[in-house]
Amino acid sequence: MKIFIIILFVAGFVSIYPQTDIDTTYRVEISTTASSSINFFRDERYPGGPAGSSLGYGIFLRGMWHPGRMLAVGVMTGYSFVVSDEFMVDTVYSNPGEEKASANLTAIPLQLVISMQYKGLELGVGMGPYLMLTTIDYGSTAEAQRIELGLTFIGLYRFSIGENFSLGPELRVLYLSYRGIISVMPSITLQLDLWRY
Amino acid sequence: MKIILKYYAIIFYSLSFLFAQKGETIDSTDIIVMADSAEIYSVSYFYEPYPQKVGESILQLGGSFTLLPIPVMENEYPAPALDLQYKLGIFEKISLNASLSTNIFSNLLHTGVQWNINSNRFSFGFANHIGCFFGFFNTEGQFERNSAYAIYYLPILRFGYRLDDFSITMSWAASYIFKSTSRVSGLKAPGPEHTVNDYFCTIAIEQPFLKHSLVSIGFSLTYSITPYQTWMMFNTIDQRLFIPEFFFAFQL
Repeated sequence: MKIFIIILFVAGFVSIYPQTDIDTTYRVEISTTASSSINFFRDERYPGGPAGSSLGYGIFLRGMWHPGRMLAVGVMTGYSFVVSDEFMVDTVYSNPGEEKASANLTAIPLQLVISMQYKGLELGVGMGPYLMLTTIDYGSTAEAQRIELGLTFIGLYRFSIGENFSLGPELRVLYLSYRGIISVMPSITLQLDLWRY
Repeated sequence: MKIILKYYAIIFYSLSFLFAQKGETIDSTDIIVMADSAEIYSVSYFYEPYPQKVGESILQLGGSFTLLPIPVMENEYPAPALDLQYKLGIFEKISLNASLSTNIFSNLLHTGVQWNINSNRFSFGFANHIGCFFGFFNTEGQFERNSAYAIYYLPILRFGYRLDDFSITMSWAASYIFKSTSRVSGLKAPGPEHTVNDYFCTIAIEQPFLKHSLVSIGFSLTYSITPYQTWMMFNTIDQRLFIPEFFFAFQL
């Protein structure tokens, strides 16, 4: 009977204790996502051009420090091809008529990310600058770059596919306030738990 | 029968022990906490209007980044500020709150009492704050010494909900300006008076961070005619503008 009581006490105590402890495992997580994107424009895409929407693509890399609990902080970069337009320009100085021109816009985020992770679910937001690269090809090529502020909203659910890997669907929304561009990226995210300590 | 019970108990508790130990690490999201246990409510947060213990105080230090309105600034400028916040439980459901936000050139201070009440995980608070704004900016040239001040009333409604691992709070506030004045190199000009200048909507998520720290992070949207952070700009736009702000703060 004494053995029974001891087992009851020890096993019961040990079985409860780990469930009330906190997560003390710190993780460094690397994740990447790539997909096509749908981009919506508030203003004209080029002077005299349409607003509307365009198809693009993007690839992003995110490194997060997740010190137990739910909150994680990190940085994100990547490459987002927003739009490529071809349009006709009236010639003024040469022969009367029209010439073809093209314009491209890409965005490179350099952002701070804050996210909350609950089981496989992760919701986060990236804040900070986007390096906007513009290329206009009209006879010769002109390039310009400008830093603008933006927000990146991230929502995903991960399924474990190995000891350190997980994979899952993600919805990513980029908001570039100055130009009024909203990019929606339904994608797949692959995550690696790079380091646990 | 006793033997059967004994072996049943041994197997049952051994299994529970094994299952409790599964996995190499303990996932915080798997922590079992009873819904109404005192553990959930043992921590106090600044934004969440959950009634505090009498005498308990919270001191928070953090920062904020405000995206100043493009129509006024003509470009995107994130204005940083240092935030210091204090909350003291003075009665069972009454707390004393104070908040200071400064980036040297623009300083916002408001303080007042807040009535707090809760029903299980939901909490509600109503605060009456009196505040003042003071800004100064000295430069060389035609307009050397510039300053402005305002005195205002700030009622705040807070709605909080406590989950097992974090709390989420939504706050609504409005500032009613009693008096405001600006000075440009000795020239005095009255600012907005006896009018509602700002409407604020704030969402704050507060949670444990690292091992023993508590952190508040959130987003605030201000709808204002005269944003206080842009007081030194020559505002020619007589319309309300949206001013987004991100903030964070750590309990000290």
